[in-house]
Amino acid sequence: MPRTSKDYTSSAGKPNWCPGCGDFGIEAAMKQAFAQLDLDPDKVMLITGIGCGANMPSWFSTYGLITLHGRAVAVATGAHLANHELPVFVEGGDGDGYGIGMGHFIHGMRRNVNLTYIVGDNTVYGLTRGQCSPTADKGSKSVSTPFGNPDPPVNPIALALANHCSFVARGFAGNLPHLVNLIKEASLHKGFSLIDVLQPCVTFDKTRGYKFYQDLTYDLQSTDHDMSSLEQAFKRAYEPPTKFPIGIFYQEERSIYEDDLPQFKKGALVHHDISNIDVIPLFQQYSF
Amino acid sequence: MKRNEMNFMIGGKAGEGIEVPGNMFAELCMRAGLWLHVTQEFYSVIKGYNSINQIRVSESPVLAHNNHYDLVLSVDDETATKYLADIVPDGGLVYDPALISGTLKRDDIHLFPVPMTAIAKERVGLGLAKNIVGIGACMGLLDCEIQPLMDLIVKTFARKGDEVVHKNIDAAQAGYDFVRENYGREFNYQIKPLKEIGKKFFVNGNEAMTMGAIKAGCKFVSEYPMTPSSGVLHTMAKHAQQYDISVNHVEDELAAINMAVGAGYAGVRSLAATSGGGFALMTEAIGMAGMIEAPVVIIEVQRPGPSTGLPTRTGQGDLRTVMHASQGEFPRVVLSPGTHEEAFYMAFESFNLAEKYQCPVILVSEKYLAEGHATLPYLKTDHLTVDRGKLLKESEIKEGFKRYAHSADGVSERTIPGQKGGAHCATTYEHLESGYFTEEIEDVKKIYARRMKKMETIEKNLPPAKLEGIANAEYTIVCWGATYGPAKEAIEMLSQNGIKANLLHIKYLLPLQPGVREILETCKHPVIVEGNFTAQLHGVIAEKLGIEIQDKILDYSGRPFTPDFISNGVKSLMK
Repeated sequence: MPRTSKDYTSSAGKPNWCPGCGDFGIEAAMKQAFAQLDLDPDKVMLITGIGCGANMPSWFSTYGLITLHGRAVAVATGAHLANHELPVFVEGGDGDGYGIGMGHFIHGMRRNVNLTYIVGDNTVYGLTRGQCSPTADKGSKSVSTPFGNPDPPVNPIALALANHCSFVARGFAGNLPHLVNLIKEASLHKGFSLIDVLQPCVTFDKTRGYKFYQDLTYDLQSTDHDMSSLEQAFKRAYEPPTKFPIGIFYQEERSIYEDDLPQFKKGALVHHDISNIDVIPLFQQYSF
Repeated sequence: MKRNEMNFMIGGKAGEGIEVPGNMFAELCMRAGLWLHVTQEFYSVIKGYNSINQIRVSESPVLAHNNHYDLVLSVDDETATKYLADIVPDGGLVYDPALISGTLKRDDIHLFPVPMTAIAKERVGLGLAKNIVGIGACMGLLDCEIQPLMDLIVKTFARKGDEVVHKNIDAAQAGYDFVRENYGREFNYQIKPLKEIGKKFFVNGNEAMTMGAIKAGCKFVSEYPMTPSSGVLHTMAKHAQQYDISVNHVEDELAAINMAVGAGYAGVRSLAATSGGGFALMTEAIGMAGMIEAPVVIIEVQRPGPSTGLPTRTGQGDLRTVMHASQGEFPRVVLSPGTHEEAFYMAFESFNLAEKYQCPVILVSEKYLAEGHATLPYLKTDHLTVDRGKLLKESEIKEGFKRYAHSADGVSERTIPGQKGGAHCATTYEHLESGYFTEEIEDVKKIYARRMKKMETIEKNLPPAKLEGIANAEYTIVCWGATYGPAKEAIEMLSQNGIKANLLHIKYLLPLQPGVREILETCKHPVIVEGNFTAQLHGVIAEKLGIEIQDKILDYSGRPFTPDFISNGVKSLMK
């Protein structure tokens, strides 16, 4: 029997997001993608940071781990290297990934860790009551910036392109079939896959609702965009705020972190026998 | 004639290669079958400033350095004058008169001027080879055969080609010949090979801890370089492919600890090593490991703080930091080795503790041990058993598995990603037995108490503290970490002076290992010895046992304790 979203749904409880939250779209897209990829829930690691969207693993039946604010990519890197045979999905918000977790985000891309990183990008910190996030426009007013955000926004797509990210994509939480497809493509890609997901925060950012994004988004893959061209990808990355291209900006095949390391050739580290490791050769190496 | 029992020191400028002759001397003594203890004192610079390499040699194991030298090789303009007063009567000083201004006044020692720079320029064409001339001179003074030194020079410089090898051989021979011709057998010390050499190896504490970790099956290491803990990263990296270990020099300490926690969660034994500053950055994730009950080992090699402090020196100022770091309360273990041998065994044990109790384990050491070298016999490993605690096999996972289930000892059964039927959500939020988050009063109280129950279980199962040395001593030295070596030697020195002293070395600091109360209650006169200002272990003992140790010997200079310093400290308490 083919798998369905239900196979990935925990019986423990239901999501507690605000009605209409973009996280529902991301959750649904992830579960549908998992089903279409025919993933065994016991063989999936879903690792998140802290934030509204990062509560995601609570409502999944896979192995889940809710870590710390900003640290999901680092934790997931360790988990992946411990068992590189399991698919790893990392999920979190824009404050989590592009604010407090920026360092791990950049180095994770450089490293080309084989994982899929889904960032719900809604330009606000929802869980802490609506402060503006690193992707908020200059001048945005919020409780922490009552006279307007003094800083221009981070451009996550351009940042990823500039830092060797081997799969750079953007989705929209209101376009489910498109997002399902992106998550599948990202998961099948070998290397660090970023999906920045445009996502309305219906409670704290009334200026960017579903209609706003519906009107401004268009599918890159329905244009003549060449996703092997870094130059074209950069051009598209700078289109906001007039237009928001969604789809795959850039994809390249390059070796992943563990490819060149013989340690990983004998199977996942977690399966190595550690019951009786012989260190006498080490004593010998430090003898005279 | 003193044979095979000496304290040698070589001093020179950082970056001028004092390590090479120092290592040569150590290796020659090792090959002669002797036991060594080596410690280096240097400034936090790459080039310049006076560095010293202190090498104690004996026919039996050496536990500590001391600051009274039998032979000093001064290859710069500073060592000879700075350390002249620290040479023992009848000891020797080899120096280059061309580098020294002023006169060296000591009638009770042997002064051996050797024109090292001039000889080096003449023979090698490079003044820096003075170090090799110097080591040749020392070997001559110590009545050693020159051949082992020549073999070592070949080995050391072979990569640089025949010409370099030959020039250095010439330099060493010239130094050797110079002292033979000018000073004959004036010096009353000898290094002679032992008949029975035995199987020994030579490591610093970082290497010993790394070997213990490898033996324990550590498969994942993430570290950001920080003196004096970087040796763990370097040693692990060197052996990564030999032992199939993922060794990662990562972007910062936040990444280091978070990756290690991720790897521990996913089922491999993982390690992050750092010093105090890096540990401060790791704080939040240590709490995460406590909350999600992921096993992880952290090696914290102390240097004096606060902040950047003294990067290349030693200290014991981080005990309270490692005991209390991270918000809230959660089980953890803090342990600290006293010797290089213990560094190996306690590193091994740390990984068992982390998995048995599913919590962060902090192995705390200090620069003195971690970067100091010692000779060890081949350590016994047959009795070491990897204990993975309540990690379930797939076949043992029952229907309705709950990752954080209540249990009498506080430890829940554990599954790892990929295991059929073991999927659950681990979260840093407070949670139910299943892992699902909760804020309900009764649920919170129950899981919190279950988690903390592990501390009781750990404490019960730790080995009890032991009193070392004679019974009914007048003074009992109480210490932790690498203060052990100097303290152990100090109680012997005191005994030789007719003062009865023994030693309580506390190896498990959190939970405080059992037996400390019983020992302290029978001690006549306990004296705490610590490398910090606030006597942190003293405070821990007072807080936990209600026993206030009155006398303290504290040093926060950034330098390691010497046996003299401790025994003099005890003597001064008698006045």
